[in-house]
Amino acid sequence: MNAADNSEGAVNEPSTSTSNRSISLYHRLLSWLLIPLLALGTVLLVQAFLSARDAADRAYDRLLEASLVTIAEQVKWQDGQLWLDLPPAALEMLATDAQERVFYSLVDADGEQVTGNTRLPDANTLAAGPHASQEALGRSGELAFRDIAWQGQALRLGSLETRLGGWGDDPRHGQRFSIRVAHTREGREALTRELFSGSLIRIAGMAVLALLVVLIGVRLALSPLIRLRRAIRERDPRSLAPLNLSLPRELEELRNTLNELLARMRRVRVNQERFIGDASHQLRTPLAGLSAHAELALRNEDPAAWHAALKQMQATASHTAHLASQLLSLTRLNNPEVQPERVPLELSALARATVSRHFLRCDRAGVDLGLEIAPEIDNTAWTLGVAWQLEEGLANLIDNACKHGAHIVTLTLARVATTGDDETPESLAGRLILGVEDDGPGIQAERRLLVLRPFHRHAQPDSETAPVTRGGAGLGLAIVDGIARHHDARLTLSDANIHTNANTHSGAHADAEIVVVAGTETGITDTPRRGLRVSLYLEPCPPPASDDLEGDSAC
Amino acid sequence: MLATRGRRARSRTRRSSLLLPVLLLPSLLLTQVASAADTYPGFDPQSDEHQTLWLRNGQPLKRLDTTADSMRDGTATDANVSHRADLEIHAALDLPEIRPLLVRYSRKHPDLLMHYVNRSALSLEATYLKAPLKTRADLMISSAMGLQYRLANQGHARALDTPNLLAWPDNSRWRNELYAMSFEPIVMVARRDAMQRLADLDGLRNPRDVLRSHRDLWHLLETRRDVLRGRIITYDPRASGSGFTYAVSDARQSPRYWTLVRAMGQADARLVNTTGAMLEALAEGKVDIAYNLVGPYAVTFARTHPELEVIVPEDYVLIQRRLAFVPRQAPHPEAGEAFLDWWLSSEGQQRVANESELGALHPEVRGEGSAHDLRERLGDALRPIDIGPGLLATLDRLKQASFLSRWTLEFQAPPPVIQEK
Repeated sequence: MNAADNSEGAVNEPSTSTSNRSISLYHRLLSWLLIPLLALGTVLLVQAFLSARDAADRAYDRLLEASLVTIAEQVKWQDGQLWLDLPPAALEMLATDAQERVFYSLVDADGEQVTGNTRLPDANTLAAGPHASQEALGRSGELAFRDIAWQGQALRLGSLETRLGGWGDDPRHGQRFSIRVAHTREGREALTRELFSGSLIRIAGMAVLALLVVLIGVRLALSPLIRLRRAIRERDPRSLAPLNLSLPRELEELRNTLNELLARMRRVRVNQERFIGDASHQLRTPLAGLSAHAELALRNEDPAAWHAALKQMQATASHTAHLASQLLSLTRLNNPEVQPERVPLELSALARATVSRHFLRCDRAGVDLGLEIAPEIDNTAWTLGVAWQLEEGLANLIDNACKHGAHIVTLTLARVATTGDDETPESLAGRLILGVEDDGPGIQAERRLLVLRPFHRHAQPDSETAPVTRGGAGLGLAIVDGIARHHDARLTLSDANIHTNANTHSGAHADAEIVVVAGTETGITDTPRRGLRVSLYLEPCPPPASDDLEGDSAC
Repeated sequence: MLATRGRRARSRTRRSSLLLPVLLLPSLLLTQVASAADTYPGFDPQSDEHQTLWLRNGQPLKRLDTTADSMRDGTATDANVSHRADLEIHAALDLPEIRPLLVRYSRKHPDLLMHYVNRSALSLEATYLKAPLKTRADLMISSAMGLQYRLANQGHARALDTPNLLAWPDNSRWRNELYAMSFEPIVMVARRDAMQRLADLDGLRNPRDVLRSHRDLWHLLETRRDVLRGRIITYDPRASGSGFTYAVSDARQSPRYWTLVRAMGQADARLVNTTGAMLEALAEGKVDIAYNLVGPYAVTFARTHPELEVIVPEDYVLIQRRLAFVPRQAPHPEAGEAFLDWWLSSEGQQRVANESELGALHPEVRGEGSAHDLRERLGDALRPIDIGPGLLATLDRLKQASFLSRWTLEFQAPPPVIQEK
């Protein structure tokens, strides 16, 4: 029992917490529609009440007016004072069906009460209040209506200011007087309630209708979203096929974005599959070779042949190990989550160290490895980078050059001129250029981007120039590309035009001449040996504080 | 005369308006209404003649009457607190008419100490208005419909809501504050011997044919003025509130009322202030015909005086309804409301019909003594005085003055010179 409860609680809790955190689209739409609707309804109700009261007041004020006029007609001058023969009908008119309490008073020009059942104030003098209404009644006088609180009761007061008729010298002619009548508001309130309840029913009906329409409308409007959700949920989890369902325009954009994402994922997957295919192919070939050599050697009785086979196997194995390590570093470089931090380092020292490490090997292979550092940045070419990656990149480039039949490989370090150079774009001004030039066959301009892909063999179309045995796995440039991306550096592949380069880089004339001569010496004259220059444009950085300097330079 | 009275009334109103804010309760209108004494010169508020009756379990208690003096001003003093009634009714309704009903109600509620005070209608209102906040009345009953209506209109009446009261016919009440308790025709009374004489003079076989309507009265006065000189009696509308109300209502019925007034004046009609005085004058043989008497009183009196005949006019009958309300500041409003509720219940109304002449208004009560019976007999001739603001108009100071001056003028008009051929 307890366990069941617990599990239930455990199930419920996260769901409630998520619902608390995120507002549903449905609720958001509903509240945006219903809150204004509510406000509008309230405004309508208030307005309906006010207009109902206004209408009731207007209807009943006509009674007050009729009563006032009826009384006014009966006012005359008699026995030396104002005289009123109060018509009972005038008061009965005021009482209405609601049996209101009625009050009247007749006041003369001096404000003295002539007759009446109470002393009422003058609505004209009180007319500044909120519920006053005044009308000019032409010659018959001034008519005013007003709500008053009279000795604990709410009354509607009407007053009529007028004067006696007649003409002549008699002073009583034209005597001013004021008639005031008042009654309780019960009839008005009953009429107001009646009118108001009518509009209340109408407004309530409209509100219910609007509520239903909004509820249904929001549900219908959101149904494509639910369809989309279902379509996504019901897909085969391994499928990357584009979504095909008709949606409203707003959701169509979402679907298209999703489809673009899926297309990208399909391309990525194709690349990965090809990479894996290539890698396994690359690994299988030397392993098959190893197996073939071993088999051949086993059939042979001659120890010398065994020795030769073992030598051959050793070379193949080391080649395979090199391939595996390249694959590993490429995988590491392409993994965005394990990228080592970049620290300030000095490039000229790094270049010298690289050259000295590779010099012997190249020399043995008959390749002339050189180093060219622009004097103005010698020992001051600081940049943010990872030393082993840059060294690896340079090593790959040097390797590539060697493998593709270069005789002269030059490692260069220079800086883009800050001003006046038309060829380099503004964004690269002041950057450090770490480059490797060779006098190999070079790459056609339209294929330069392709060679950055893993396992792309740029040499295939002119394979006769590149001996298969010396061919690399095709990973070197891909690795360099990864390193460049990690260093926010720009990678360019260009022809290693020694002559033009000689103009920009002082002190390289001799090498350039040699390159050209060496190229012709190899005897491949039918193919233009344009050479290749791979350049990394690195962002310079200020040198670190002096105490760090030694540690870095040592590294 | 009128002018000076008007000034006096004004100055009083002004003085009292200074006191008003002090006395004001939020829910109570205390507007000083023109005192009845201003309108009725014959009324003296100092002479507070009243009858009083204490009842417990249907038995009258005499001992308590000693406190009557201290109640004169309508307020209680500490000394007589112990004698305070549980239900105190202040009325303008003669004791003989209501006594059987009071006794019955008292028997029904044996623990209730009831106190009934009967005054004239004007005195009743004056006493109440002296101190409306400290009134001792739990129920006010008065035949002066205008005065009662004026008090209720000013907000002195409490809103009542017991079932019998809410079911009471709309035309017999005003809001739920003022209730009509009776249905009383205004009648003429004549001595049978005088009628016989007059019938003989006219050669009529049935003496009743002499006087059946207002028109007959006028005709008698015109044709037999000398016989009837000083033998007619009626209300003085200048001194009696009821008389004034009837006169106004008569005048509203027909302008020929004024010829009747003139004829009565020419016949030297005697003027008194109460129905009782008229009945006594009739009984003593001082007069032959009395005009405009309160029906129930006349019928009750005629029972013991067979020489008198009550005549319900056939052309039209004014109907007066006694109005009752529970004062807003009544010390025992529930007791007053309970009494009124009983009175207006079908049981109470049956008693009213059987044991009094007041007339039962209840629509389900039939037979003798009910309004229904009277309606069946007289039909369209009934002219109930409306309970409405028209009553206020009759109380208007100027209107009363106009009316009374005309009445006086007509009453004192010299007889026309009769040219003998």
